[in-house]
Amino acid sequence: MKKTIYLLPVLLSIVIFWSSCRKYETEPKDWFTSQLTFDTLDKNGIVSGYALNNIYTYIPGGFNRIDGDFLDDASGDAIPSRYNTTVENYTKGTVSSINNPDPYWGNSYYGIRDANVYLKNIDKVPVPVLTKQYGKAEARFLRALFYWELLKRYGGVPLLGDTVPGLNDNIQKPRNSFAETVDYIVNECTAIKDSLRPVALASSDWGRATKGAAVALKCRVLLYAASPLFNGGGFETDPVKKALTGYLTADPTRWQKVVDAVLEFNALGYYGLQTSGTPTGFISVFINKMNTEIIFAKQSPNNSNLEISQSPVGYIISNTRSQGLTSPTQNFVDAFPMTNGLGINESGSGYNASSPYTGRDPRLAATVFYNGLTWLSRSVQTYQGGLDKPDNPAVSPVETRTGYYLRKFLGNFSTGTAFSSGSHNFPIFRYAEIILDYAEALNELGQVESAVTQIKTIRARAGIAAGTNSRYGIKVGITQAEMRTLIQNERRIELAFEEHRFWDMRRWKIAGQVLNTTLNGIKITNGTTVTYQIVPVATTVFQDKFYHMPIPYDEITKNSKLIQNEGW
Amino acid sequence: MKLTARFLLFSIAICSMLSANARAGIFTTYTGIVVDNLKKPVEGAIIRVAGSNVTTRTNSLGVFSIDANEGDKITISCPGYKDYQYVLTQSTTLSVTLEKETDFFRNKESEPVQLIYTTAPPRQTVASNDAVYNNDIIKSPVTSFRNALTGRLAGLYTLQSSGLPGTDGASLTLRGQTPVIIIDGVVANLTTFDLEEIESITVLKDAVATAMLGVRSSNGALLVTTRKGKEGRQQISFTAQTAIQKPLSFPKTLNAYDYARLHNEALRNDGIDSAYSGLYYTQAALDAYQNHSDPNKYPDINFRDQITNKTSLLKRYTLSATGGNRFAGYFISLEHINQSGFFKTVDSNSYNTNNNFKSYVIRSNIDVNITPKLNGGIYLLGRILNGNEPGAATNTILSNLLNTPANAYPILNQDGSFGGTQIYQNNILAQTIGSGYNQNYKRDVLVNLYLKRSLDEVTPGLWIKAKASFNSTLSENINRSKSFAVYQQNGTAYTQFGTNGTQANGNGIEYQGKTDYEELSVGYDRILKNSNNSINALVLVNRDNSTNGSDLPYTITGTSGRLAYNYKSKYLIEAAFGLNGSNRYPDHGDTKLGFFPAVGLGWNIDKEHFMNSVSFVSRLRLYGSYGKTGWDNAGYFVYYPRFFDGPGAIFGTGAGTVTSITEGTLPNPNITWEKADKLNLGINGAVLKDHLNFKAEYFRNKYYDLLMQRGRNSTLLGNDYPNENIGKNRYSGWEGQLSWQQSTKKLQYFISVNVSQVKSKVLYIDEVYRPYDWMRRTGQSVGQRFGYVAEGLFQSQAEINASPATVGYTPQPGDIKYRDMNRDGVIDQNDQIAIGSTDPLMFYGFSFGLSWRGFDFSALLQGVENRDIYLSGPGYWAFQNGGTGQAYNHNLNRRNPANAANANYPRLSYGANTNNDAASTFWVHRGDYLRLKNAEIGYSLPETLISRIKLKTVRVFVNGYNLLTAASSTLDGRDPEAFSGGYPVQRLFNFGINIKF
Repeated sequence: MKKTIYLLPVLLSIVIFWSSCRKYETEPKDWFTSQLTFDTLDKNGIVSGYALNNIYTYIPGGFNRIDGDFLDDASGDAIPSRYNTTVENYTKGTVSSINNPDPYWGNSYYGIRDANVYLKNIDKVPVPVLTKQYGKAEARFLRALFYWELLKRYGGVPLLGDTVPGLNDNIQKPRNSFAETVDYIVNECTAIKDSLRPVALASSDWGRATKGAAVALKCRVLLYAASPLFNGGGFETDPVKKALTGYLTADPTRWQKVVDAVLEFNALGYYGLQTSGTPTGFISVFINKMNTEIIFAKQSPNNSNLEISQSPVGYIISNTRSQGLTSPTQNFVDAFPMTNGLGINESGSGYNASSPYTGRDPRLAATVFYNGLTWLSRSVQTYQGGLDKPDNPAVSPVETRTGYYLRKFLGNFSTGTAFSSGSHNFPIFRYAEIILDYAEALNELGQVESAVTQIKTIRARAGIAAGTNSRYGIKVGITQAEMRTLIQNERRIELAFEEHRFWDMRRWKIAGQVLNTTLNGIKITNGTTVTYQIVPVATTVFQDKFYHMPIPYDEITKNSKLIQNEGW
Repeated sequence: MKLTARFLLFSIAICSMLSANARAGIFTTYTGIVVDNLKKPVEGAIIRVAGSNVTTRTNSLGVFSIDANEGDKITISCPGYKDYQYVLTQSTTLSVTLEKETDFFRNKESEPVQLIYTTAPPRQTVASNDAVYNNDIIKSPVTSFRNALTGRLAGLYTLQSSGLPGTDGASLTLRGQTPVIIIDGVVANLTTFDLEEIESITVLKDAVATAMLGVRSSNGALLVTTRKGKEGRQQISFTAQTAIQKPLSFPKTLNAYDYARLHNEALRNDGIDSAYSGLYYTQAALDAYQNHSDPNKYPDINFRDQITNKTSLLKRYTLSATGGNRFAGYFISLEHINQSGFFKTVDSNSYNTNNNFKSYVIRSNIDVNITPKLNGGIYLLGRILNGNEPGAATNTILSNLLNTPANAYPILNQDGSFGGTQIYQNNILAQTIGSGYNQNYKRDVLVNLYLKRSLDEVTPGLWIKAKASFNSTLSENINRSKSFAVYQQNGTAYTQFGTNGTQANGNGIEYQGKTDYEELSVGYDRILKNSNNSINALVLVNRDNSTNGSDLPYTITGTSGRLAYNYKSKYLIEAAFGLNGSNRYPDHGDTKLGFFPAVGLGWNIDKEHFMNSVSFVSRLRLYGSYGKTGWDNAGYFVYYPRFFDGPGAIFGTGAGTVTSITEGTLPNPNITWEKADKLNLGINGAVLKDHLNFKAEYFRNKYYDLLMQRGRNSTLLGNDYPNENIGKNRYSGWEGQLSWQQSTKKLQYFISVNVSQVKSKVLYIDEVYRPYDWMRRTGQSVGQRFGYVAEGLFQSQAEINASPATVGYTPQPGDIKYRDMNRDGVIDQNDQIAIGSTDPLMFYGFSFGLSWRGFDFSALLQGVENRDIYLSGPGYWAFQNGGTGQAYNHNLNRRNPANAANANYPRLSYGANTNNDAASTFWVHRGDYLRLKNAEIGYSLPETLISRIKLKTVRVFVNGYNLLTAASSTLDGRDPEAFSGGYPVQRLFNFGINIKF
C-alpha cells in the first residue's frame, strides 16, 4: 500500500503535465501569415489580390474628409456651416505642427509600406504573368500617389524605395529634396505606365489604376513642379529648407515638361469631356461611376450619405434632417461668369444684382444651392427664416452661414421626395483637369491663343454660349497675364471642391492675397420683392509659412534627421 | 475528456490515501485545566492531538486528560473561544486560558497568516501582509467586496468611479499595481459575492509573499479565504438588510433660460454676427424660457428629475449554517440581493425597465477527516447575477442626460406623446420607460477540491496534498429593446421622428470562459524537538489553464516552493521561488519558464533575553525581504507575424466591397515577461500589554522589462511598433499602522489608523527628443499629466499685447493665459510641463469603535491626499460638440466684462477653443478628499431575553456607506471619485437584523 502513496506524485504529475490530449493548436492558425497571404500555391493569387486591394484603401476620399468638412472649406470657396470645426484652423491661422487637421503623414507611409510588402512578396506567388504585372504596377502607382500626397503638403520627404523596415532597422531617415521626390514620382510613373491596365477598363475593374492614371499623376506633379511656389519661388531664406520644399532656382522650361506630359496623355486617345447626361454633362460626370472623363477616382459604396450631409437643412428625409455642412461663399459664387462667358463685373455681362442667379454659367446651379433652386420638388429657401435657414438654434443648430449650400457631387434629385442610393466617387484625376493643366502650361510658355482653345472646350461643355466670335466670352487679344487670371478662375469653378483650389492658391503663390480677405455671404429677405444683401461672414488669414504644411511635431521628435519646414 | 480522465486519477489518489496506518506505541498521559479569561472553567472544550484521531473533552470543572507524546501538537477548541494550540513538552500538567472570540475586533497579530498556498502561524512569516476579517467586511452594505476594503488595508488604494448596480466595484491598486485576486488558493477574478462567506481578505505585498506565483507575482495578491466549518454545535445565522440608496452627486446643468442666455454669449464671444447668423435665441425666446410662458415651444426640463428617483432600495438576505464534528465540518450559505436602479418605471409596462441587479449566491464548504491522516474538502461557489436595464441601455441614457440641454424638447407633449425634435430624437424618458428592456445573466461556478494526506509515518510533519479547481463563467445578454417615436408639435399638427417598433428578441453570449487548475504539493511542517525551532517547507507543481471565448487556452504551469525556518522563535528566515511560465511565447506557442526567487529575514527582538527587562514591550520585530518577481503580460501571440482584414476596397461599377488584407502590428519575437526587483523592510510590535500595536513598512520596487511601445516609433516604419520589454519604473513608499484596543468586562473599544504613501518614477521609456528638461517624462511619476501652466485669465487686450503670443491662436480677454516656460515669447508645446499633483499619492483610513452592554458602534473614515482631478470635455465644458453641447452651473461663473475679477471659468466659446481646451493647470482640481465611508450602530438583545426563545444572538443594526464627504469646493459638488457624470456612486443607509440560533 505504501507504494501507492509514492506513486501518487508521479500519477498527478502526469495528470498535470501530460493530461491534455491535444485539443487545440498551440498558436492561432485562424490567422493569416505572410506565407498564407503570399502563398506559393495560390495559383490565382486570390489572397495576394486582397493584399493589393488594401493599398487602395489609403487613397484619400475627399468628401467630408477633414472631420466632416471638405478641404475646400479652407480655400475661401466655402466655409463649414458648423462653427469652430478643425478645417477652419487653416483659414484662422491656427494650424501648427501639433494641430494640423490634415497631416496625412501616417496614412501615406502606411500605404507605402503596404505597397512595398506587396512588391516584396508577390514574386513568390505563381499568379499569371499579366495579373502580376498589373498588380506590381498598381502597387507602384499607388506608392507614387502617396508620395504625391506628401509632396504637395510638405515638399520633399524621406523616400524609402522598396524597403520594408523591420523592428530592428534604423529608420531615422532624412528628407529627400523636393527635386528628388518629384523625380522619384515622375520616374515611377514613367516606368510603370505601360505595365498598368490599358485605359479602357472592364466594368468589374473600374477603380483600378490605369495607364491614364499614371500619366495624369505625372502631369499633375510636373505642373506643381513648374508652378511659381516650387519653381524657385519659395519664400525660405535657408537654402537647405528651400531645397526641401522646392527648386532653388526658377526654370521656365519646366512648363514644357507639363506640355509634353499632357501630349503623352492625349496620345492615349481615350478620354474626353462628358458632354451629355441628365440634367447636364457636367453633373453626370460625378454621379455616373464609369465615364471617359474620370481617369482615376476614390471608389465609394453607393449610398445617399453625401446628399444627407450636404443638402440644405430644411430637407428632412426619413426623419433625418439634412446637415447642410458646407456653406459656399459669395466670393465663390461671384467667380462664376454669366452664360455668355463674361464675368459678372465685366461690362455687357448682363448681371443683375437684384436677380443674381439669372443668366449665370450653368455650372453655378450644378455646384451650389442658392435661394430658389429646385431640390426635391421644392425651392431652396435660404432667405432669413426660410426652411433652409430657420434662424432658430432649437430647430436647427447648423444652417448655412453664407446663404448657400453645396450642390456639386449630389445625385439628380431636383424632383422626387427622397434620396436614393447613388454613386459618389471622389475624382482624383479627371480629364477636365488635364485640359486646364495644358492651358496653364501653354499660357506660361507664351502660347496664349493655344491656351484659349483649351479653355473653350471646357466652357463649351459647361454650357457657356459660344458667342458670335466663338470665343466663349474670352476677349480677343487677351494678354498672358489676363489669360493667367482667367485660367485660374476657370480652374477654380470647374474643379471646385475637388481639393484643387486649396493647393492651387499655394502653388500660384496667390494665397497671400486671396486668403487674407473677408469672406461674404448673402442675406436674403423674402417679401413681396426678394432683396439681396452681401454680408461679411468670416475673415481669413494667411502667412508665408502656410505655403507648406508643418511636419507633425511627433515625427520630428522621433526622428532627429527630419528637418522641419521653415516658419514652423 | 481531459476532465474525466483527471477525475479518474483523482479517485485513484483518494483510494491510495485511505490506506491510513493505525496509531501505535506508548503514550504519556497529560492532564490539564481549561479556563476562560475570567478564570472560569470551560466545559466541553475539545482537545485533539494533531495528526491522530485522539480527542477528549473537558468536564464541568474544565479538566481533561489525554494520551500523547512529547512533541505532539494539541489543539483545544471550544465554540465562542479562539483555538489554542500547544506543543507538548516534558511537563504533563497543563493550564490553559482560552481567549474569548469576539466579533468586535480581532488582533491581526494573533491570527494565522494566510499565504498563497499555505498558512503560517502568527509571527512565523516575514512576508508583508495585512488582513481584514469578516467582522469588518460585512459592515459595508455593498455587493462587491472590493468596496468593503476601502481604507481598511494599508497599501491598498481603491477608486470607485461608478455606482452602476452590478458593476460598481472599486478598482484596486496595491502599491501602485493591480493585485491578483486569489480565492482559497486559486486565481479567480470574482469579487461580487456574499460578503458573509468571506473569513478574511489578506493582501500580500512583497516579493517573498508572492514569489510562488512566479510570472504572476509582480503585482501583489489579494487572498480571499472563505469560511470553513469547525467542530462544534451547529450555528445558523440569518441576516436581513434593507438599504436606501441615494445618488451622491450628478453634474449640475443649467436651466433653459441660463442655457440660452449663455449660448448667445458664447456666440457673441466668438464674433459670430448676431444679425445674420441665426443661431441666437431671440429675446422673445429668452423671455419665454425665463417665464415658462409657453412650455411646449420653450420647454425648461430638468431631465434628471424626470427619469430618476431620489432613492432606490438594496435588499439582502443571507442565511448560513456552520458546524461540524470530529469527522466533518461545514459552512454553507445562501444569499439573495435585490438592488434597484434609480430609473423611474411605469406600471403600464408589464416588464421591469429599471436597471436592477439581482444575485443568488450559494456557498458550500465541506471539510472531511476521512481518516486521521487523510482529510479532504470540497468548496463550492455558485453565483447567478441577473441584470436588467432599459432597452436604450443605462450608459446611453446617462450620457444623454448629461448632454441634453434643458430646452431641448418638452419631455411629454400636450397630447401625452413623447416630445422630441429632429435633433433630439432620443427622448430620455422614452429611452427610460419606452424602449423595452435588456437583461444580462451571469452564471459562475467555482469548484475547489483537495485531499491532504499526512505522511507522518515517513517522517513526522510531512504531508502531501492534491488540489483541483474548476471555474466556469458565462454571461448572456437578452435584448428585448424596442424603438419608439417622438413627436414635435407644430401648431396642432405633430411631426413624427422615429418609429414605434416591436420589441427585439435576441440573445447572445457576452463572454464565456472556463478555467481548470491542478496542484500537487508536498509539505513539511515540524517543530523540532527540544527546541523552539520550526521548519515549514512546501514544494508544489501546478497548472492553471483558462479559456476565454474562442481564444486558445492560456496555460501557466510550473513549480513553486517555500522554506521557512525559525530559530528559537527569534530568528526567521524564509525563502520562496516560482519557476513557471505561460504558453504565449515563440516559436510556436511555447511555454517559457522564468525563475523568480525571493528571500526574507526576520528578528523577533522581544524574544531576546535582554528584552525581558523591558516589560512594556510585548512584541517587537524587524523583518525584510528582497526578491525578483515576474508578470506575464505576453498578450495574444504578439510574436506571431499576422495579416488581418483591412477595411475592404471597392471596385467595379457595382460598387461592391472586396476583401482587403494587410499586415498587422509588427511582431515582437523577443517578447518576454515583465520583471520587478522588490525590497520590503518592516517593523512591527506591540506595547502596553498588547493594547498598542504598530507596524511600519518601507518598500522600493523596481519594475523593468515593462512592455511598452518604443518612444521613437517613427511613422516612417509604415506600421505600428509592437510593445517591447523596455520600460523601467520605480515604485517606492511606506505604510504605517497604529492601533489601540482594549477590553474590559463591559467595554471593548479600539482605534486604528493606517497611512500609505506610494511614489512612482519613470526610469526609462525610450524618450523622444525634448528640447527642455521640463518636458521630459523620464524621472516624473508614472502617468504624470503634462500641460501648460495657467496664469489666470487675460483681463484686457493690453495684457494680451504684453504677453507671449500663442502659436496658432489669437487670444481675447477672458482666455486662459499660459506661462512661457522657455521665455521665447511664444506659447507652444515647449512650454508644457508636468502639471497636477507631482507629490506622491497618500491615502489613509481611520477607524474606531466601541462595544458596551450589547451596544456596538464603529466608524471608518477614509481619505486621499496629493490626488488631482482633471475636469474637461463635454461633461464639464460649455457648448462643446460644435456648440450644441451642454452647459453647467459652474459655467455661470465664466469670465465676461461684468464678471472679470472673480471668474473661474474662461470666456464662453461656441464649440472647441484650441487655447482654452489645451491641457493646462486651469482644469486641474485638487482631488483630495475625506469620507465617512462607513459607520454602524448595533444592539444585541440580552442573552437572558432571547435564550427563552432558543435564540443565541439577535442583533439589530443600522449602518451607512459614503455618509459624508469633504472634497475641494472647486469640484462644484461633483463626487471626487465619480466626477465625470456616469452612474453616480451611492450613499447608503442600511437597516438590518441578524439572528443566530
